[in-house]
Amino acid sequence: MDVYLPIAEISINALILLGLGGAVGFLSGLFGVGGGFLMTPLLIFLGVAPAVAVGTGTNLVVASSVSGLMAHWRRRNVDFKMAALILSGGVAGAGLGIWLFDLLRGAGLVDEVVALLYVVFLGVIGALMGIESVTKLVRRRHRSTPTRAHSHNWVHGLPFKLRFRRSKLYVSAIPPAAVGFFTGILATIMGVGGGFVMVPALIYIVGMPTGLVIGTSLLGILAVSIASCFAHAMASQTVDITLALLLAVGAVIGAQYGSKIGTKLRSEHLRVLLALMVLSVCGRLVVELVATPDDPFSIELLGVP
Amino acid sequence: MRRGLGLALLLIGLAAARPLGAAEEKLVVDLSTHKIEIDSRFTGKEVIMFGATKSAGDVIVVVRGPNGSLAVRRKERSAGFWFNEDSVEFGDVPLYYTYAASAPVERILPEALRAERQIGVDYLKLAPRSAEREETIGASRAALVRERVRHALYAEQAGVITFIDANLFRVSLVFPASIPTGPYQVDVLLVDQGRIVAERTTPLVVTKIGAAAQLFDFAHRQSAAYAAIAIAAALLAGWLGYIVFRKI
Repeated sequence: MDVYLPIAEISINALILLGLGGAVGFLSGLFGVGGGFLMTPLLIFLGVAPAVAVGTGTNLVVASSVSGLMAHWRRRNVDFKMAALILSGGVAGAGLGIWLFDLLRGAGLVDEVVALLYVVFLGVIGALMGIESVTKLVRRRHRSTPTRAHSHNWVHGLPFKLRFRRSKLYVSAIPPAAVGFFTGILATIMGVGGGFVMVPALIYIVGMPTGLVIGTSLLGILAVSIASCFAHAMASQTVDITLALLLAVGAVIGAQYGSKIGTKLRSEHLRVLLALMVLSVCGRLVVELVATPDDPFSIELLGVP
Repeated sequence: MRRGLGLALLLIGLAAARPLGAAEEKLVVDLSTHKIEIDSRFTGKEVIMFGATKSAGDVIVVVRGPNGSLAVRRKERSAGFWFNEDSVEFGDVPLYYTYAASAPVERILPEALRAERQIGVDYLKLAPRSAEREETIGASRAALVRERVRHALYAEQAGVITFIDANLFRVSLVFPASIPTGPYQVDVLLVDQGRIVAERTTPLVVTKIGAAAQLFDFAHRQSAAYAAIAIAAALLAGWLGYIVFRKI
């Protein structure tokens, strides 16, 4: 059942797209990530031009994050005040991201810079989160230390403190805004929502409860993906609505299953799984950078006169 | 009455054209269609060419797509990582190129003539926009051809030419789903004893039609409205998914 995709200008089997969307939506609902990091390379593998894969990915993330967000909202797992702060940072980050992207593209360095940044961040975040959550699981099994709601660190010394009722937190406004800012930059450069950077950052730097982070992150991802989808559609006309909607049908269903399973898991278990996912994405990027490519040349269509 | 007049005019026209076109008439060709329409169910298309020859010889059919410009980037290992190093831009590259021949072209046409007429991907005139070292250009050009071949956009000896009898032939040209849109040119050469004795050129246009074309135009002409609709559709899809599947 092949469908011709008018912007991507190729035909792909609709069933493959439904399945792909379902898998990505599942991860989205489970972990509060958008799933663009998985979708973009898979679309390129199916023969979609990289620019279209990135642009269309942002549109899909809009659908999957709304679906997951609604499910988490119903379970009262969204901190709107926190989300507003993340978003204000995110908007500024997206603006800087577009400027940086043009700068890097002009220098022909987009791939390198983004890949290296990602490898470093994902590696560090994944390792730290894996160690922390496994240690906690082991400790809990031995019932040795009573666990506090969250630990106090340097973040609590920052000024502009605000009270977040849903998250039961009293912290500075700077870290959530900074997390949003950084995620906004990554989102525009990579064409991903940046959820797998945002989620661990909100857990460990801001100190939010894991369950709330996922719902709140989805709200942030939704806004970021709307902004970057708009930017891609305006600047390069690379959003294929047919492709995005086919993927979305699978994704919104997957997101419901993901969020249901996510709320049943213990938060340590969820963090172990998230750490594993972050590390495997990191591993894939490292392999891509280090392994000898099949063809060291890549071809890009610049234009049709 | 009207038909009679038309016929008379046609006969006069043919009679007038005859002395001029005498050499050309050694070869007459036509395509089953001059327009490939890409709609939402497009998965590629086969176009049949019929031709008649008045003299003996082999037939070569060359299909060239619209031109475009391409950048070829080369990755190189530095500090253990593979990064893009240099990039060569080619302008006026045919985005689609295939040819078919009734016999292996190496046997029926000398190399000089094949190079001149650009028959075979090795003879395509691909000129870089900037001055580069000769080996860089050569390697980039080879990579460009490899990429086109991998996506079935360049092919050698593609299609089958069948002679129905000594003077009547049939060519099957198969276009993949990923063909670029734009004007195409189909050149037919009649070759005898290493010389081109007659040739014909037939145009072919590849266009998007229906919903696919409208969507593409809309996305390019009214980007802001398209973006808003794409986002609204995604929001609606996500919300509907939640409503329908929240009971699971």
